[in-house]
Amino acid sequence: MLVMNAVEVRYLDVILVLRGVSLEVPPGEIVALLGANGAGKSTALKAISGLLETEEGKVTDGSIYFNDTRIDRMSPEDIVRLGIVQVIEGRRVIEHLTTEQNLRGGAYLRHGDVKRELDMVYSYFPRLKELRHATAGYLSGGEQQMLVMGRAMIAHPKLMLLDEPSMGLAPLLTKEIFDMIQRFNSEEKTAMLIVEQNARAALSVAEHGYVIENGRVVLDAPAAKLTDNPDVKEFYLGVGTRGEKKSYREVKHYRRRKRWLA
Amino acid sequence: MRPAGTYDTTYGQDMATVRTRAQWIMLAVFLALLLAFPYFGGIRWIGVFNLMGITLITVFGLHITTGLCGQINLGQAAFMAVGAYTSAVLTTKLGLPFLVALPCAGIMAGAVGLFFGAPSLRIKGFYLAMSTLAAQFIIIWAVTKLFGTAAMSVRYASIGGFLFDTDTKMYYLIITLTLIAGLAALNLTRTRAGRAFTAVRDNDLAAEVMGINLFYYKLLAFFIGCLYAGIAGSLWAHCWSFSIQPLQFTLRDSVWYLGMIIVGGVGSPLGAVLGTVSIRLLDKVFAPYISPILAAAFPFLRANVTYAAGAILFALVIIIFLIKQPRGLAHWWQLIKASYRLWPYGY
Amino acid sequence: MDQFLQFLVNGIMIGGIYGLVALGLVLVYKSSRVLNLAHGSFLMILAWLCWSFAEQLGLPIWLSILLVLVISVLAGLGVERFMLRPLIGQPILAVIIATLALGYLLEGVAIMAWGADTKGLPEFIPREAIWLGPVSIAQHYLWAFGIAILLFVLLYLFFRYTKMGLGMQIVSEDQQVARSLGIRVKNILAQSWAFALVIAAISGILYASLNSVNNGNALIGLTKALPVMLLGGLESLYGALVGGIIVGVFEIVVGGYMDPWVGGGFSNVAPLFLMLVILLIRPYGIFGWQRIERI
Repeated sequence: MLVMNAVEVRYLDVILVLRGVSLEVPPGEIVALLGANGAGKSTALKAISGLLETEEGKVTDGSIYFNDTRIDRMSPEDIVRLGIVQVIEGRRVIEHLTTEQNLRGGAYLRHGDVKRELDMVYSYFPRLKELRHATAGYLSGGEQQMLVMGRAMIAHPKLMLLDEPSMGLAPLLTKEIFDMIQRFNSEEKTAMLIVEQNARAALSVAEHGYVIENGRVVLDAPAAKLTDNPDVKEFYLGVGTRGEKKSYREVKHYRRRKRWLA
Repeated sequence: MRPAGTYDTTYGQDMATVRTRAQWIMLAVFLALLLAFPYFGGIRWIGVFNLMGITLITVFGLHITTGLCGQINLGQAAFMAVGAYTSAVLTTKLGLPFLVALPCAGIMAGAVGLFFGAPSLRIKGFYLAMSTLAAQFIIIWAVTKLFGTAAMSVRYASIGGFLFDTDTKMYYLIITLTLIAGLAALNLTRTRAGRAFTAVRDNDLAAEVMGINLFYYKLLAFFIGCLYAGIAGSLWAHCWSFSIQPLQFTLRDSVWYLGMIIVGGVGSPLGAVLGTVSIRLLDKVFAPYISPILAAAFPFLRANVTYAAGAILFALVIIIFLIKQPRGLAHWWQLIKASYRLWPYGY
Repeated sequence: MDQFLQFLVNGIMIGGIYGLVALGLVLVYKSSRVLNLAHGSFLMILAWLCWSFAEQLGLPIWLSILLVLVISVLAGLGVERFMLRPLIGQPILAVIIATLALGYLLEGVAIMAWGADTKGLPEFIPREAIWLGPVSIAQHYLWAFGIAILLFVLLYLFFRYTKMGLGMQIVSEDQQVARSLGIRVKNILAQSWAFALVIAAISGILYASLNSVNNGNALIGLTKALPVMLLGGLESLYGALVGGIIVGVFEIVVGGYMDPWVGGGFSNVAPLFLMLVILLIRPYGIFGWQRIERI
């Protein structure tokens, strides 16, 4: 459904962030995109959703296709109309509006009454229904995360791009959010591309995973296989294969391994 | 971009304003031309140059407050009025010598500037613009209340018995002061205060965290900027010796002064010079030629076409510069200089 | 006491108009973070146009007003497209100077086209005073106030219940999120400029029908509407109304009692003194958003 071919992204025509990223999201599947800070995960999402344009970034090489439509030169507004919705990193609710107004904003492109859509979101997040007249800026972090996800879900997207849905949330909440992701995926058949630091949580719901480093995809495999990969285990899942003792040599070793990976 | 082959070997060389022999020669020629100007330029041009010089001083002030320190000042013309009326009252009503009145005018305008600049500690951007806008209206209202709307006559400036009673004599006084003001503005960039101003402009919170006393430096920027305005105002009062009136210091003038630093290039003294000279030339030379053409082409146009044409022309120039070349004329000048120095290898 | 009541009523009536003028400023600021310092000049020139249509071309007043409204929509779209859009991303100083310059450009046009005259709009609202006990209200003031209130209510409903209103609110807060939801930010900005200039046209015609058509009308954009906007809070619609009434009352009451002491004309600068005080005490106004700034 979504295909990225050797995409290269530059900011301000100078800073090369993605150096040829290729990935694929099949219909109805969840795909996880893992990587360290600054690896280019968010940039990859913004390249798909077109929001690069708002940050002076550009796709300078390669192409992105969504159902055979080339989207890497389209404006974000038009891309949304194709059914690709991005949940931007950092719980960007519209602070001075209420919960329900925020959700209605998500349904901006739907015509007519959105009552049914609202109820759909409330069935996933009953907490939001209780808070529907509260000012969004005063919600807690978890509630805000639910809100921005609900705001994306209400549009019934074909592809949802989630940027770090677990950032800064307690483990219990993270689990709840990921359960919801899985449920929404299986009920609505929405494909998802999830960028996460919390690799374990992401791989637990994803069918397929990509590891991205320094703007390149260095590993890609079905989620189950990725979970077993010793490198991924060590670097992203935090399961040490060696003993507790860390020496300078091992730190160097780590560096070398990572570079080799790239 | 430096001239090729010029290297600094001492600290003195590094800090020098004039670096090469060619620059010294050009400077000397420029100064000589400036001094000799009244002997070949017509009387009308001397008047234009006087106006330019006075404007330049006030624009230098604005360059310091707004261009260097980033504090928007929409009341520069009103601060000029403070200087002009202070000087007028001191010399004409109290009979004090011009050499006393000139600094007093500057300090008075600076003090009023401190008062209206004080809110800048708490507010910035739009809010500060509003506060200085209020200053513009309030000061002119106060001046009108105190001295009336009618023209107030002012004595000629005199220094030690020498009477500046013609435009030509005034010309020398004005260019001397303009050169001093320009040099001071140029050097300010390289002082401790100048660096603090730049830091405040770029991010005032970060500057404060670095240990820069925001209140002190913001007020200092207002004080120096308004001091320049006061001195320019004093010269203005004595230059058109017969009269000054509140109508000469309106919001429009404040906006035009800001427009000059924008057209020239915000943040560089050279920009202030280029902007002032080009806008004044446009205003004094081209607007009078355009208006008769306009009046002939569109007979239904009303009176005051010259005035209106000037306003329209200048407003258009400002808007076009803001959109097309926000870095101003100074940027073009840099480009020309760089390509000249790199010639014939333009890369 | 009667005199005070009279001042109060006059202040509220004129305050409604000030609020309406400020509303145009708030609309543009809310959506695009631009302080339109040319608003007053638009108000002035649109009122002149109305006068020209009615008196010089002899059109009926209602048709003239309608024509002016159409022109104001076009002008709003044009200004946004050709001046504000290219200025996106430039520092505040650039926007302030650009709008001020635009204001003087319009003033220059007005001087060329209509000179420095003062004209009266044809009377389209009755002017006889109504007596409420000891207080008299001129009918046309009452009408103007009523129209202002009506517009406020309409706008409130617009923002509360329409999709376009919702879009404007989202754009005003976070343009990136707005685009990620599929809202066309450029269109929204153009629409809010068109809206603002329609309001400028209405308030300009109302103000001119209370006083006269005159180039000086442009000044209320700066000397009255700015204090109103600041007092109410830069983003708040009802803040504009409340601020307008406060400034109107302040101006009339203070001006009325102070003018004998300091000579006429104090009422003209009274709102500016009020503005300075607000700036020092509570720069975000009564209903404005407090902004948190981090390095």
